[in-house]
Amino acid sequence: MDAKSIRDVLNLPGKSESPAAKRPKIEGKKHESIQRELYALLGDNSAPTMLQQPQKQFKSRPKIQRKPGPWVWAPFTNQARDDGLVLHHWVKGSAKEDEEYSYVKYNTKIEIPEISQDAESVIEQEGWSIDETKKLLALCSEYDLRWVVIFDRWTDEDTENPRKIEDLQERYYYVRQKLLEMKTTGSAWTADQLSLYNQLDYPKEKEIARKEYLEGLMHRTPAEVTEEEALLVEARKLEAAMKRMNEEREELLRLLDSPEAAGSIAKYSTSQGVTTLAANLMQQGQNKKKKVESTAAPAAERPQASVAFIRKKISAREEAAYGISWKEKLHPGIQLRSAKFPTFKASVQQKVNSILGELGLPIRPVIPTDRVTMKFEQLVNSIVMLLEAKKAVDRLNTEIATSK
Amino acid sequence: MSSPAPAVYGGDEISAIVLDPGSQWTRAGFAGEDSPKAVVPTDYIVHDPPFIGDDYIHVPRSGAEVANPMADGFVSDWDGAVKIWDYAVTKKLGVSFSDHPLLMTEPAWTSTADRKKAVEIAFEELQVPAFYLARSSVCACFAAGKATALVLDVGHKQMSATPVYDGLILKKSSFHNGLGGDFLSKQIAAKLAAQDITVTPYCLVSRKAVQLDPFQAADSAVVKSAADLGLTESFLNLEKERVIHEFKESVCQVMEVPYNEGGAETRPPRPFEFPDGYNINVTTDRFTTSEALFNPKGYSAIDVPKDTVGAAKMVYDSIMSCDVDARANLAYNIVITGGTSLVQGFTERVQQELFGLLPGLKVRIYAAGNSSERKYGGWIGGSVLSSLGTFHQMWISKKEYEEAGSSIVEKRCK
Repeated sequence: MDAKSIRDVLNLPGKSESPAAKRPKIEGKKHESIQRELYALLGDNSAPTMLQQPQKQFKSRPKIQRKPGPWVWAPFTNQARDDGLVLHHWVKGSAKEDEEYSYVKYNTKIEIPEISQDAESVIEQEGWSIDETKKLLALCSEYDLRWVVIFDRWTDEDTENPRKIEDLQERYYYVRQKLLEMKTTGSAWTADQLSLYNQLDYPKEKEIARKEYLEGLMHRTPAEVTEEEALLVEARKLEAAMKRMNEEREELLRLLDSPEAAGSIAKYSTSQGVTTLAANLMQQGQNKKKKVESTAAPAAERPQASVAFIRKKISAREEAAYGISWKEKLHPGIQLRSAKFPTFKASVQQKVNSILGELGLPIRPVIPTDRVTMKFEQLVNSIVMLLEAKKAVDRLNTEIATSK
Repeated sequence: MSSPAPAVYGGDEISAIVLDPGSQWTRAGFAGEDSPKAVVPTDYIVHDPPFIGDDYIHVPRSGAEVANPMADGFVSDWDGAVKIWDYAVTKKLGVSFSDHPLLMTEPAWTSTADRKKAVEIAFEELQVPAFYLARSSVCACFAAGKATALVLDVGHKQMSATPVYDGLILKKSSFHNGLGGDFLSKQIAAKLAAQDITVTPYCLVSRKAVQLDPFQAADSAVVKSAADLGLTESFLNLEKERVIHEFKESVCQVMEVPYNEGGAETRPPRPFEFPDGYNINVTTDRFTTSEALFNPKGYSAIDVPKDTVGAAKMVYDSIMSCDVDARANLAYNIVITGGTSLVQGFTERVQQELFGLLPGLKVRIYAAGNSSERKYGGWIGGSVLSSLGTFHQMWISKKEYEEAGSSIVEKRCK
């Protein structure tokens, strides 16, 4: 497309009238960067000059008026320590003296009561000496009731029967309860004290049983674990099915309880509305009648003369052999008989196929003669019917099971 | 776009020095950094003053004996150790011990006497203003960003499994044995010796044989005699071990499943060239050597104590010896650290075996992908720990040491 054509398309006045006849003259001096033909296409329009913006090579230096903040290597003391160790760290601005170290607030401790002289008789328990109890409480305080660690650091006096972690826990909570009882003797219990007392109750037997159960869980074999998981999935499926069924039932019951009108009857409240309704009903009745007539008509029709003629010529045996049929409605064009096999939804088809497989039959008959096709159709239809029946039975069974 | 990380950083840098003495490498650096600035071999040449550092110890000297101050994961020869530490800190880091608090790592099984000795050395000899002795497994745990984990540390001389619960180790459930990088090297040396392959260290090779086919004798190599140079046995062992270490790094691999001959034969062999030019194609041996880390009884070419168990079994034993309530958490946080865990396929194998051993628990393994993070796990954790603001109340100060003596370490460094 040359410059003139473009002008034509855009309805622009031509530069000159005649040059169409002539071969476009390639003129102008030879350019080094573009071909001469290309230059001619561009016409007189020279390409716009690219304006080169002088680009700055670097970002300009930011103008910061203020001075950089001073950071100082300042000494500090940690109030969580009692030895006054002086360490150094960097702080912005000048170092502030007598300010609490910001991490001191995380230095927290669990309150563990101590055993006084009077309490020693109260907390007596078989198998525990006061010294051993004190050792236990010291460990509890040192490791903030991390029982796993306390048990790890525990050393037994009696190495013959080492204590278990539950023994330590039981002793600790027993001591705590007794000390609390001692503290509150003679005065009424407050709600807080009562709830604390209940919290300090340690059911040792239950704990041991729980741990045994956990241990058992841990020692399952991989096969048992997978089996259990499979069962869980199955159970979840059943639950979901039951939930769905219940929902369906509720829906049904709701519908049965209060049948709602599908639409408003306001439009039939006037005499005109009633007339329209009557007309509509009549129309519907007529349509039905017509349909019945139209379906009945072909049956009554006599076979055509040519058909009668062919029929005369071939015997019933030949008809079967060639697979000629008279009654079925044919579509124009050629079809394979196998195209007539009934088909179903993918899910149903799959089940049908599997049942066919169980019966030792191919999914599609190998040689679909007329008889085979017919029989196959019957078979498949009965399979589907049975499948539906089975589904209904299953459903009823679950309903019976849930209603029990 | 991911949302910005929550502000949990509770750091307060006090410019502490972190020292992680290992059996093969001593790592030192400043707290708050992500890798140690000075990594010095723990071997030194006995001399006055001793030759220390990678640049000096490998020089062949007549009659020079090599010594290692570590035994069973902690210091046994304190003089030698202090000299190496001094070299790492004053020469390599360029600072003085007396100006900076010092955090040192130790394995989970050090004796009370050793710990007291460490405190004495730190205050008396190194003159540090404050000191702390941290368990290396706890540090590895912190390096992985966890407070509770089971740490499998496969180092040079030992392999250890230590449960860490809220930053405290559980001593009764900690196990360690001698399966480590050194054990692997010995395996390889034994296997090579069985094949009549002599390992010539680099320092003895003047010119190596060129363009040899595999298994062809390296006759054309020019090799110096160790006796002429007056090299000692210990020096030659150190140099040979370097070659074997290279062999280990480039050839050894652990199979994902327990070793089977058929599976190993289908893998392509790996070539290895010795310093004298002799080269071999290593086939199934590259699996059987490292298989001993998992099955020491079946595959070890050298004698091991009877009760030695493999890596996965050790983790299993450690988890099972803890309280039942802690097990799930430990199994879900298994941290693998240490240089020898970098043997190809190691972490996958641990995972695979643990899935079989602990079917009732969810097993999750955390192993840093970055090799320097894996090697320096203990140091990095120490660096994290000693730059936390809340940690600064834990230091043992000089004053406390003077008042309470070295037994304070048992009270403070739990």
